[in-house]
Amino acid sequence: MSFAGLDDKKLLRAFLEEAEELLEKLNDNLLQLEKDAGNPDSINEVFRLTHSLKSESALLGFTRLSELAHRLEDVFDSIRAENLTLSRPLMDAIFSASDLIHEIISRISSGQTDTQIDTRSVIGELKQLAGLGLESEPEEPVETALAVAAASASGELPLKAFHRSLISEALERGEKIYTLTVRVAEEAELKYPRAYLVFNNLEMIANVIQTSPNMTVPQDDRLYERLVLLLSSDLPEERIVAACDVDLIEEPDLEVLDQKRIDELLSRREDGARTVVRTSGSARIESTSVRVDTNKLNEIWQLVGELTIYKAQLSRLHDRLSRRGGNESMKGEVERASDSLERITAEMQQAIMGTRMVPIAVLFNKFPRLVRDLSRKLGKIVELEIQGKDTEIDRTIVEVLSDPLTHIIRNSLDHGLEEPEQRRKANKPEVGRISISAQQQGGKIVIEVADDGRGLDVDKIRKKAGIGSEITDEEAVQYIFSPGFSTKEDVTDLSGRGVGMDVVATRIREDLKGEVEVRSESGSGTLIRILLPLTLTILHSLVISCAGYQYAIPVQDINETVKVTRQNISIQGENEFYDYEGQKVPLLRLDSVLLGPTDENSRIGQENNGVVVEQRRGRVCLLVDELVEEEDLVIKPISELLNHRRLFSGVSVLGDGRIIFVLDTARIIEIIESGGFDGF
Amino acid sequence: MGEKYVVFQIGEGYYSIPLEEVSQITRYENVTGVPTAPAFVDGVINVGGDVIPVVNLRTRFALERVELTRKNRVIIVQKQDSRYGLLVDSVREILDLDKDSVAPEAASVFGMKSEFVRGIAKIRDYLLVLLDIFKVLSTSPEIPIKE
Repeated sequence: MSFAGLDDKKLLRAFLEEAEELLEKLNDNLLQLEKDAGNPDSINEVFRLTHSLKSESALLGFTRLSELAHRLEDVFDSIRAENLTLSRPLMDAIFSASDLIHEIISRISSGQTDTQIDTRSVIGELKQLAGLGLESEPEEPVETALAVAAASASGELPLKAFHRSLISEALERGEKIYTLTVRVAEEAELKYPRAYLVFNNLEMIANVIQTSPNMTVPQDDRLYERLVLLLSSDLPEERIVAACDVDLIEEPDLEVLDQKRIDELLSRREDGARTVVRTSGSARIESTSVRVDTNKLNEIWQLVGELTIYKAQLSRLHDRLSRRGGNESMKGEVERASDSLERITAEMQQAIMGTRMVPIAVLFNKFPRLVRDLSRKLGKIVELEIQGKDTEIDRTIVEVLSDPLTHIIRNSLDHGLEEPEQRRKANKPEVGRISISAQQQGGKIVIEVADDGRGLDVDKIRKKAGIGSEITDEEAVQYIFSPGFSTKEDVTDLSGRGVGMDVVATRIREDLKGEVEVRSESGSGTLIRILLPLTLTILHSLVISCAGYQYAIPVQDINETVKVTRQNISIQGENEFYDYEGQKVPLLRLDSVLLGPTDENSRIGQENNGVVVEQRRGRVCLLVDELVEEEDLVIKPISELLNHRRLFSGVSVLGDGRIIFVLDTARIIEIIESGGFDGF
Repeated sequence: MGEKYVVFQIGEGYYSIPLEEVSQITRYENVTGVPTAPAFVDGVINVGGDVIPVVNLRTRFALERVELTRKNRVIIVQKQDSRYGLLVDSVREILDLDKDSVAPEAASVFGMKSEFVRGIAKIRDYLLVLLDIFKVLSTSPEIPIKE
């Protein structure tokens, strides 16, 4: 189909973006319904979503898709009206319909049409299960509708009690009620899309109460020669007329209704006209998004980074000025300028981060469905737990992360979790658990997938990798990530896991510059942890100095800064502890962590600065020379060459050009907890 | 038409890398030390907001350190997203090199191990080693570059 004068591609792209979002919500709500079949919110939401999908796909001429969505809408309309209950087979049919919609959309996005896909069997099944019979809704006879459309403006708009209440509400808000009539030029090849554009424009700025012909369910294209809309608005009339400024739309005629006409409308008896009622805002297309090249966003991000540096310079200048005395009014001005710059920079950082960061929910939301389908197929009972959906990640890594993460979850289900029978024998609950979580930890995003299955078979891994007893079990299991591990012969029969994990690891390490590690306990489960560097983050950090170098510690990692004296430490064997709130926290000299122990750094002076940092795995008190300042740091990834022991999570440039390394406190704590520093 | 190469000197030897791999050449200034870096990394420099490690090629080639002079340069090389600085004794010239003038058999010149050498060329009055610099950079610091 063609839209003369319209950019087809743009329309299509907007449609696909919208459709993707619709599908995701659809999926969520269906899964919700599977747990709680009567949930009215989900039923309404599914009805609304299928309704929108139907209208939008019809607008672009995807008739099969539109029909499929229409049938689902019918089903949920019946459920809404309590004429139908959601049975298990019906739910399955609904899921297959939703899968088919997925497939059609993905075809459309790869440039194909929806005509090659056969929707008949799915539709037939839906109809049968929903008891909707084979008769589809009788179409409104064209003649009648034409007659309605041709009649005078407000009189024949089909109005129900609902519309009348919309009118009353609008009047209460002090809005005016209008009728607007437009004609679509005869030479327009397709009239509905043109009329729809006007309708859509008006929906953006005013409240469209009712239209004739109906805009949400496309009918015979000839009907749309003339469109009558009833709307309310408090905008000047020119704005409303301006919304009709669409190519090939003629003669917009806007008429404000006086009290008498309004009374007429309000007192009219219930309209018998059989029209699908469009509730306000129900299928509103609010596509306000634009596509921006990520490179351009990167450029802006770079500039914001520089801005942060100059902001810091200015406030330093202000400090110097304050110390020197001098012109008071000038100092005031510098202070105000510095404050404003600080505020604006912060807002800009937030705004730009907002364009790039999305909640990881966009990725996690597809897993309930994956787990549901796969567990049914494998005959396993699984409970999925998802945490930290709100954790924000860079939009650009969502796509790259999707496959590896899916693979990990698949592996958990397929190889990790045992069948119910086996679980019973092993004295485990029949229901297996998989939990997926995400959180930001210092300069990193940590994503974990854990299951309570059988764990990895360490012996087989040892054999496969050709490693002996000199390597601990904990290290041996990491071999599932070594390149080529799973391509080795007969690895498919490797019980536990490991299949394809080397590929997963390569993608995470090379494409995402992240790390991946595994912990496994025979019989009780496996945990895969992915650590990703933050690509776009500003961390408020404490700059400290130690042995002539300066480092940053993210403030969010810090519990407290303390004074360490000989009185508040205790010694056990080789190790020292700081007494912190009645607890013994390992005391660690930062310079010996970084440079290795020396005689000089083994002495405690009269009073030393300590920073108590905390992570999930524990707490530690870091002994440093000086607390220098607090700064907002733009974190950049650090070269592998400089970070063999992975003690830093990133690097940053300060206002005066100094380069500073950001400590990875989680890593430091982990090393201590596993006894990695001798006599810390 | 040949390819352009940057020719630099380390100790007595002349080495070169394709100009394509070079993003800029700067002076050795404002280098920040990194306590945890391997011995052949002198530190990091800030180039346009990016923090880049500076590899001391003298140290990497197991030559003794010498005092810095006005002639020292840092050649910034780039591969995909990663940039590295190479501290060299001096940059000699930029050269058009014909494929025909390069001998691919990497004979042991200046004691370089062959896996780090792409070829040898005879230029006027000197012998030039075409380095595989990213191989040098990605090789574990324990493995010597020279035999």
